[in-house]
Amino acid sequence: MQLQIQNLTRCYGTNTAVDHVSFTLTNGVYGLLGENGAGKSTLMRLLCGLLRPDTGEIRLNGKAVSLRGEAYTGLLGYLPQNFSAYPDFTAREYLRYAAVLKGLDGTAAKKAAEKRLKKVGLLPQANRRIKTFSGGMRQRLGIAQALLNDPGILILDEPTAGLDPKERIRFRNLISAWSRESIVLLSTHIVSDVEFIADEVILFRAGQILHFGKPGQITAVLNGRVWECRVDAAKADAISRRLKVSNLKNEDGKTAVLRVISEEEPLPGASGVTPTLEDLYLYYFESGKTNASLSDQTGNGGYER
Amino acid sequence: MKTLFFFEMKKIWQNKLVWAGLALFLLLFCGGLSSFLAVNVPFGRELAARYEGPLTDETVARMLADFKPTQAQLDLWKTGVDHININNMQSAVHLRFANSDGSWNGKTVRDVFGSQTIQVGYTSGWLCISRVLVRIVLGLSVLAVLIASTAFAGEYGGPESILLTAKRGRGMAVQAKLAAVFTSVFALAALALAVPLGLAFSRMGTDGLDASTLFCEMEYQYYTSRNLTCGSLLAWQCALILSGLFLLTAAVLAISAVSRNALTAIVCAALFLFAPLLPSVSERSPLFRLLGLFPIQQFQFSSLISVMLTDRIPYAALVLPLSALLGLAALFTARRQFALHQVL
Repeated sequence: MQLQIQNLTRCYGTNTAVDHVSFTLTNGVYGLLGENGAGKSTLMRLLCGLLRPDTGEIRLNGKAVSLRGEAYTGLLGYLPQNFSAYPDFTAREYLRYAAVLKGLDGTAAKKAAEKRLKKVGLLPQANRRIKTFSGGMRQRLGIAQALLNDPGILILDEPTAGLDPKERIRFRNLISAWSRESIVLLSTHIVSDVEFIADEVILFRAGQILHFGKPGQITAVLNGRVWECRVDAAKADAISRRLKVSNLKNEDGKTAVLRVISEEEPLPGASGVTPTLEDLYLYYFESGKTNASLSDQTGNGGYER
Repeated sequence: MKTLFFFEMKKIWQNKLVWAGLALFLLLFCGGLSSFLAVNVPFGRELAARYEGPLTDETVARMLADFKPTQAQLDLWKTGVDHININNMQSAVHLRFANSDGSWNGKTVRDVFGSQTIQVGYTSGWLCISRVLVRIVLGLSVLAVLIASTAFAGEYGGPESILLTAKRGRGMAVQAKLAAVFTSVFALAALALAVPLGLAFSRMGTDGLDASTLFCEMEYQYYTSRNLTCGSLLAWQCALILSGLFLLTAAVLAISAVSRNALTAIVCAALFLFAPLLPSVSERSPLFRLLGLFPIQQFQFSSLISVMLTDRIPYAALVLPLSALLGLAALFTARRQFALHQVL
């Protein structure tokens, strides 16, 4: 399966949320990383058909999805950023309803609902009304509904928000298993989630793609620019204000280990370390400006996997 | 489809606003029925039976003789009390054919009613039930607004993301939604019509259904200006109630589909329902014909059957098919707008 996004643009008034974006997705997990307001949710809504693009189109195996109708929506699984269900429905009722909406009937809908309840660990709470659920439980219910129809294209907007560490691990495993035969696109602020499960990362900023590639590849642009230095703990704060520090760890109260992103050796004795996605994220989204020299964008903003 | 319909019904009846509307409806429903039950039907029927048949000068004279006012009544009238409704027949005949002292005013049946044939019979119970229906349907229309206005707009701001990205979300789910709304509204309409009319038939049989609405007691003298039988008056009323409810429900569904949220939809739908009552427009004005299309005018049906399209056909006869067409157009709009809805 191949999902091609071609020259996609969507504006809200004078604000361009998605700006001439082109890329192609095939089976696998794609992590969409970007700060708030970068246009991630808009891009996902465009992919789901919840928004119409101003320009460009989305093609599934070469055919525009707008022409495919139910054949496309039948393949979709979507978890919106602020998932909300009907508060007076029980979890079981809601999933049965969602299953029928997604094209399953009778026994198949019931079976799918039970299977997903079990998968997200909500079976014991299946007969509780959704309004009594915690944020994490609602999020798990949202994940469950997204998986009901065994989607070929799974789009998850902030799926791990509100999940505790145990649930996040369960979620990562679930998605990893899922991605063998489908396209999974997930957006998150939690960089470690992307690092663990994404085959490819899309770094998104101001409606445009800054980077698209495997985590190891895209972090390579920071090679030689990430440092670790040991400093006096009392001076760590002052240094942090001066340098771009991606992590600060106090050791025994006297010494602090700083992880610094810098073009040059930031302090005497600093040692170079392997950059991570978090470093890359911080580099772009804390700096307030795009470093064009580090970007490996193609001229037309298009990416092919 | 059956499962989706079931869940849509569940959504409607889990809405607390709908329950508030249902409470209002039941209040008006029970109030209306109790006012009908207070009418002394057996006495009225027995009295009307004595004069049944076409109204003639001879019948008028007989009535005036039978209902000669007592001195006590005359004393009351002298003190400024215009009329004491001793019974339905006395009230009907004195209103049109008597002086203030109860003597004949010299008018003949032809003077008062022209060449129209007036059938005397028991009208009070039927006119009472007709007025009760107007009140009950007013409550029902508020309930219909609450049911229909949240149908689409209630999904906006969250659940619609799942609906619109699901395979059946823009097609079968919308059909199920429309079916659930119409089933709810029309089941209540059936209750609102069947119970009062059933009660009326059980108390009055068919007595007075052929009686003229013009020869009625004073309380109902302005109820209609056309010479109709009570039966046809109720038939027109029921038809206009159903067509008004269809148009109201369909229009409110369209409002719901284009509104940004449930509150906006409810406010706009309430305006749609009640705003046509605000302008003071004469029945003779061409503008009335436009206003007459609005559901609230159909619920207050009497003007629509009094304004004539031709000599024999009332304007209501045009309102019925027009309402159906407008309602279908509104339903089409509602479906289309929901399918095109964008989650911003």
